[in-house]
Amino acid sequence: MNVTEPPASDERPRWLQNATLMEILADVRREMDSDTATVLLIDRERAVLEPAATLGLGQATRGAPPVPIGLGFAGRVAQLRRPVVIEDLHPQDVINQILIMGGVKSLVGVPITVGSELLGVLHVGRFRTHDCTDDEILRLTELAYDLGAALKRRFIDDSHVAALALQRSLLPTTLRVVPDGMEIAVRYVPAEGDLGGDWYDAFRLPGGRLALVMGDVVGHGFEAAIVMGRLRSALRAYALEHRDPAEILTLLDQKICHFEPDCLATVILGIAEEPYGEWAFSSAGHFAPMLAAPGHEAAAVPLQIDRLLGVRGPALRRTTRVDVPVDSLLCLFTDGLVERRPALGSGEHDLVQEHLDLLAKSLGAAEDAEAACIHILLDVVGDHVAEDDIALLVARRTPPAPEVVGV
Amino acid sequence: MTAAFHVRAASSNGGVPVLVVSGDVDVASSEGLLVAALDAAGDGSALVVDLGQVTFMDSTGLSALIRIRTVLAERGGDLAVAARSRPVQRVLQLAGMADAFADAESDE
Repeated sequence: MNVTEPPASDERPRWLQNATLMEILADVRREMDSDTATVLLIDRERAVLEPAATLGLGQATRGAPPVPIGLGFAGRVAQLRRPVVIEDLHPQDVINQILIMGGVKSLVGVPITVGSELLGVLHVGRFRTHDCTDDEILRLTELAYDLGAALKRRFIDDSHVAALALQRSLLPTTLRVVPDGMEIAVRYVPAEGDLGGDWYDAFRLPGGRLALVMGDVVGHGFEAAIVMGRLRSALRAYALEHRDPAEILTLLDQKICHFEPDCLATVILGIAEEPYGEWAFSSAGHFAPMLAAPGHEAAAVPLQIDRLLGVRGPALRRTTRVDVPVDSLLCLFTDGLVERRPALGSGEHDLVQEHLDLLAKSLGAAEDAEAACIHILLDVVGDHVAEDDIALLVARRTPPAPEVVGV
Repeated sequence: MTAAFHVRAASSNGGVPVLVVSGDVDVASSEGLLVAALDAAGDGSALVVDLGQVTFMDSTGLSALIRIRTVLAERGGDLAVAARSRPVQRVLQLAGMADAFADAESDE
């Protein structure tokens, strides 16, 4: 028996805990007599629309990727800043295949603006083809206006603004540093709408090297997020000076023990040189990455796990070399992805191993990094209410582009 | 659904206080563990915790154990662990702390 309670309904995922926004969306859907209603909000750098809340598509939207301005349906609405209608939807019309997977057949979307500022896009979908009337478009535009005003109010009132801004700055939804030969996708799912201490990072180092980081500061809330920000910066600084991941984590450990005496954190750090076929990993109390290499079953990288950071006293830290062939997927994650509290009376059932197996299966079946993120969140997390933050980073070694034969 | 967190203080033969912990040691109960442990240790510097009946432990639970150990170490003593349930063992292993706590006997 599974005692974990399902969310109150699939329409109101508790991980979002965004009552105001969800209530407004429920109104929108009722008013428009639609099957789905979705809000995407523009990111800090005004380059992509991030899915913020949706009704009618179930938990699948958790894995929805950000939509670049100008591309796909929502991206086009944002770029044109006027209503866009699709009466008969085809896969090439949208970036986000979750809409197609969810059975959406027609869409109408309008920009959400306050004054001259674009905040995002509101769209409603139907599970059938539909001829949209001018009255409907007008009504949706009015609803988007109300939503814009509510969002603006909320941004001003809400004390979470600072935390949200911090989180967004530290956890970009698109990584712009990715070098040729690699492809990286990331996801962050907060615990029940709370802000946590999970972080991921990917940055380039001198000499064409690339670093991947996944970390988890014990605790929740604004405090954990601030400490996370400091650790993230410190790790980057040490990585500039030192090449060996174990040495970098040793320095970070000393820094935490000295300056953050009440802090504990787990971190995994990987560094590779071009063409990123050999990685050096060191783990401080963090899950080993999962690797799916062509022709092999996906499995956890055989890594020695050393002590987590923040415990006083000398710790042995080791670096392990890992081969990552072309077309392999490498997955870094935090414990929230695979840890589950056992149901009462379920005995010795190993839920963590079960979820690690699901993760391996999902990763092994994925073709690229974005698809891997979507499928992992669907398959491993599914309808489970996130009790802990989930951070996920999937990196893929892309095959070299075919050489252009010049004349 | 969480299993009720419960602590019970007992005294072992050697006079070292023993704290028997059961249920979930998580964000809701780890502060309780810290308080109960320091209470059980009193003015002494030694304590044994029996974690054999812990049904779930998260990182805040581990954090509480480390803080208890730090306090006792500052008094010149140590924290020993009498039993480890599977969830506890997994958390300690993953954190690279499987050998970090001394083993102790418990009457439980």
